[in-house]
Amino acid sequence: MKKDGQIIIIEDDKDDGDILKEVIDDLGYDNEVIILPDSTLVMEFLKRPNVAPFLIFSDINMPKMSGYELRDLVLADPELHDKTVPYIFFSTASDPETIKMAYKKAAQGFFTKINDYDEYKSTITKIIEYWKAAKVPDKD
Amino acid sequence: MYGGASIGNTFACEIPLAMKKDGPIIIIDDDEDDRLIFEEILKSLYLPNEIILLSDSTEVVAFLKQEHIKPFMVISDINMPKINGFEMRDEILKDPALTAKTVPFIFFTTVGNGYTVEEAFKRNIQGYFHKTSDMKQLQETLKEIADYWRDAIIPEIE
Repeated sequence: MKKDGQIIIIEDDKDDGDILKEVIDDLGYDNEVIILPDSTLVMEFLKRPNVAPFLIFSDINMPKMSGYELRDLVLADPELHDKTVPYIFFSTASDPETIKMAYKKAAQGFFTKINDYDEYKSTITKIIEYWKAAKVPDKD
Repeated sequence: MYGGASIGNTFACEIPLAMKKDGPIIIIDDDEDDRLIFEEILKSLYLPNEIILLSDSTEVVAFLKQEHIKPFMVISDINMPKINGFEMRDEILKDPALTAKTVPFIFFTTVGNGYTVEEAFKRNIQGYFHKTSDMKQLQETLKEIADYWRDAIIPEIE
């Protein structure tokens, strides 16, 4: 089942990636958490047949390839389009244009990075519970 | 006591901007029972949002285009007479301003094979949930939806 699949974190900042992974592990979910720090390697990773992500969290500001450039590549590939629902942006940037752009790229959510650990846990719980309850494209 | 002696003074009055998250929750469903159940459950969650129930999918686009309508979220059925939820969503997606205005857009339906779910997510939606006759379950799901979108950042309507 896709809901038991990997939680993928696309994040160039090591601290941010580690904290998000820690929050998810701390909440006791069984999903494997994978951090991908290099956005240019994500396409190849997602195409692997054994990768069936439950959730994808992506940063926006990243060197070499931004989160939005990567999202465009994913959307251009019909197979990956289905495989990458839900696709959620996580960023420190939250100006109106950035937010609008995220949803133009068919995002299933946009959240800002949170400094308070308990608040972060609460938001991540809501995200995971929402997508456990939702129906998503599932090949199996 | 208010008033009386204040003649001649000026008061700065801040009018708070209407935020999208304070806007109405719009439910589109041709089935009257389902509309009433949605309304009853949403009321039981004590959300600050007005709840607007729309029964005729052919009138939704014109309704949403009204300038004073700034929805917090749109929840729609799929199987409806005249135009179904997918056709209605396609109409909305033709209009970029209306597309931005209807984030998040969520399908809530009893139909649900794999094909339907895949087709739904091709239409830039933010969720797809199954109706259930279990009221407790339905209440929990609607609470999860409200909680998620209250925490999320969504585009304000200009």
